[in-house]
Amino acid sequence: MRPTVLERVEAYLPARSVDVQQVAADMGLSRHQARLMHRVHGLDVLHDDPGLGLYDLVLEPARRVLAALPDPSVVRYLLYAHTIQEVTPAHVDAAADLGRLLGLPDAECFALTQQNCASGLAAVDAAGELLRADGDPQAKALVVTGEKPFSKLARLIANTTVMGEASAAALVGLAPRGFAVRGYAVRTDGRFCEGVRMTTQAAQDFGDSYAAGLAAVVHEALGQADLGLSDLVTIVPHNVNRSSWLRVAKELGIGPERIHLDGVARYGHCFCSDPFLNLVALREQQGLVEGGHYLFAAVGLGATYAAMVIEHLGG
Amino acid sequence: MDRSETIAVIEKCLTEVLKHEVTGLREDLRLFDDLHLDSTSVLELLMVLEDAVGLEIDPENLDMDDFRTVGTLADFVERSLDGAN
Repeated sequence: MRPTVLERVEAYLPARSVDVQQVAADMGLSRHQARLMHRVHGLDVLHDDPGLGLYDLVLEPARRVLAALPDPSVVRYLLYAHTIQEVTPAHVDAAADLGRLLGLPDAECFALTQQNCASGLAAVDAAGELLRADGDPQAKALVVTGEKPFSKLARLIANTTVMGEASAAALVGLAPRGFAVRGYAVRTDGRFCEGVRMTTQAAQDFGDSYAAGLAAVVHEALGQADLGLSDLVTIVPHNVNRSSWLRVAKELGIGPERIHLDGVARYGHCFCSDPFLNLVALREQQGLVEGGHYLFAAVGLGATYAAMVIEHLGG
Repeated sequence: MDRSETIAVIEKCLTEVLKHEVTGLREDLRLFDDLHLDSTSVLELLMVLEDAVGLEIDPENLDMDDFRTVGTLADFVERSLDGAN
């Protein structure tokens, strides 16, 4: 079976940035709860532009990905992965609009959302399956992410994180250049299906089982790739917070320096965009190791744990 | 700060976090099961304690065993203050 390949990945952050403690205070958190977000959870700055529309946010990196394609009509599928199920009014089909605005009139456009913040990785996996079933070896899929924290409910996960704005786009194909997916493990634990509306007890149970749940899919994805943790250049995480990653690192038996956590302080948690955003940041800050293996990790409320091993093929 | 002063500070900080008056704490009271704190309100309590007595926690090395009972929390506060002085 030909592996799914992330042929090109781009990300975008609005230029305007805000202090996370100010955002927390604006949402009515106490001084201590706001400071907790910084001192314990490691969040610092969020990017946020109230004047930027949803489509402009999502389209920015998507246009850069398509600009590098000689013939954008090879994009047969557009998958818009988002955390919040309704990002537009009910009569608006955001995925179809994005396809039209990107000049992809013949692409099959749809949203993928049920795995919340783990939906971006699910979309990469789904895109690979669609392309293998397509029959045309030149066909591509475009996975896009990005959404607006438009209300307190969308902005805040109590005592856990504050959401920021970012977007990402990944061109998915089957050609051997870019990042080949070598393993993908995903598990949904339905006990926590109430998400942001979980009872106190369920939230406690989710917190207690989180590290083990995420570690399990990390090991499973590595097993599929026939690799161990020591084979990874780094873990490319979601940016929910630093404190939960410290617990996951302990569960995995690795030091936190093995996880690229810079994005937590720099961007906050940006829904489905984090792993892609952090990969692009790594590329821009220190370069990526050709032939190296990286591991995307994300958790969606609900609760879905996801891990994806990718190999940098170069090209 | 002697032991009774430490307990008094914990009572004052718990009053702020739990939003109801907390007095007469015994050292064997469990923070989670008896006082109904959870893993997140415990962290908020630490922020309040930082402000109240000037201790500085190390978020990289928190051990939940320190937050089992009022007594273990008092030990943690005293140890942290000793380390700061």
